[in-house]
Amino acid sequence: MGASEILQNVVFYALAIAAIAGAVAVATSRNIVRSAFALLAVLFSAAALYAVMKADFIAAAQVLIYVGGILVLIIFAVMLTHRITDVKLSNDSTPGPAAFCACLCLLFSLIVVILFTAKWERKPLETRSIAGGTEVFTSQYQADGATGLPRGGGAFEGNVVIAVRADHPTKSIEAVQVRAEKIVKEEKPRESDGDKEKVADKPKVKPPEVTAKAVFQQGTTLVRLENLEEGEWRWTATLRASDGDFEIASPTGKADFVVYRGITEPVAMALADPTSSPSRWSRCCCWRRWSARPSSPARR
Amino acid sequence: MIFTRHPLEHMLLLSAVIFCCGVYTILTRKNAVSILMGVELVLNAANINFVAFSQYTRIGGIHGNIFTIFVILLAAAEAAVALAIIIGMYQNFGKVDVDQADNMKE
Repeated sequence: MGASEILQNVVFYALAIAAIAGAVAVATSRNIVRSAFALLAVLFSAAALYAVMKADFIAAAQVLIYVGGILVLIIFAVMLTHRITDVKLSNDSTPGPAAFCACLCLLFSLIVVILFTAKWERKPLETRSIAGGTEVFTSQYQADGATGLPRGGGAFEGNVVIAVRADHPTKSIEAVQVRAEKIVKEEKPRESDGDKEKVADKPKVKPPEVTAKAVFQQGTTLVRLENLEEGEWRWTATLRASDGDFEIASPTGKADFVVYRGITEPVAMALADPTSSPSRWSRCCCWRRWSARPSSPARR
Repeated sequence: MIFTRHPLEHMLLLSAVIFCCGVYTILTRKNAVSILMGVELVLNAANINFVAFSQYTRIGGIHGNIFTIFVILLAAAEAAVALAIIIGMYQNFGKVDVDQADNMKE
């Protein structure tokens, strides 16, 4: 985890705590002026969260309209409608168990839907690299070209789409070529066989590989790898420029994706993102299929 | 689960909590101004969802941001009208509790 990632996490959690504390204070405070100022905290941290989500215009609009307009209006209304002397008892509420239970049920069902039921079509994490002085972002998708495939995730068809994006190319790039290579594990000769020499004499089988090429486009270039065998794959992309080729180095030495064929869709969805919680959910239901996973001997 | 691995889920959970606080405020308060604050909380939760979906899903683009601007302007118009009504109510009845505004019942 890099420094910017840690900073992003810290900023998010601080803002989230501020927003939730403010919202709870709005809901429970006995003093209406305190409620109004807690609303100020919520609105400001929402603006900062928009900035975290790279929506800077929305953040500015939030501060201008919500904080500058609506909140001032609300505070004016509070001051106009209550004698400022009895402001302490001005915020009557009828906190019954029914309302509290209803809100808890609502929150519970929302959490269940967000974490377990819905399959969000995620944007796969882009990998930033430098090739020939140009900043290049690469990411990988399932065969449909829309569902993200995280690094090390499972592709449940023989096809995978590689997306390459270079916003400000310094060279005139003509094409993008992707070469995928299957990772073949070396078989250890068995001790009990006795004839080790025979195994050693075997000619080395070249690992299967698939190459695909696409014309470079402004924006995102999609390269489609087709008919991949079952197993672990690693790929490298090459930018074809007018004055030479530039290779984009693979960030990890591990497999970029794992191809599974002939499995049912729920299992495939579970394998597609090994880190998400729905996968844990369905892994329990389909443990038999999971245990037949070819790539991880440690899990068996 | 940490934020940078699952940003979408984190934003959705945060907005779910804010939304539920807003609903609780709307359900329990008697004061009309407080109810308006609850409505603002709910609208803000919806805005956070819009921006999160447009940022963290692939088919997002700028659509979510446009919806957010629309909702913000809607909230501004709504607040202006609602506060005009509340102040009118205060001048007529001397109170802003919603359970006392039952003149149209008879």
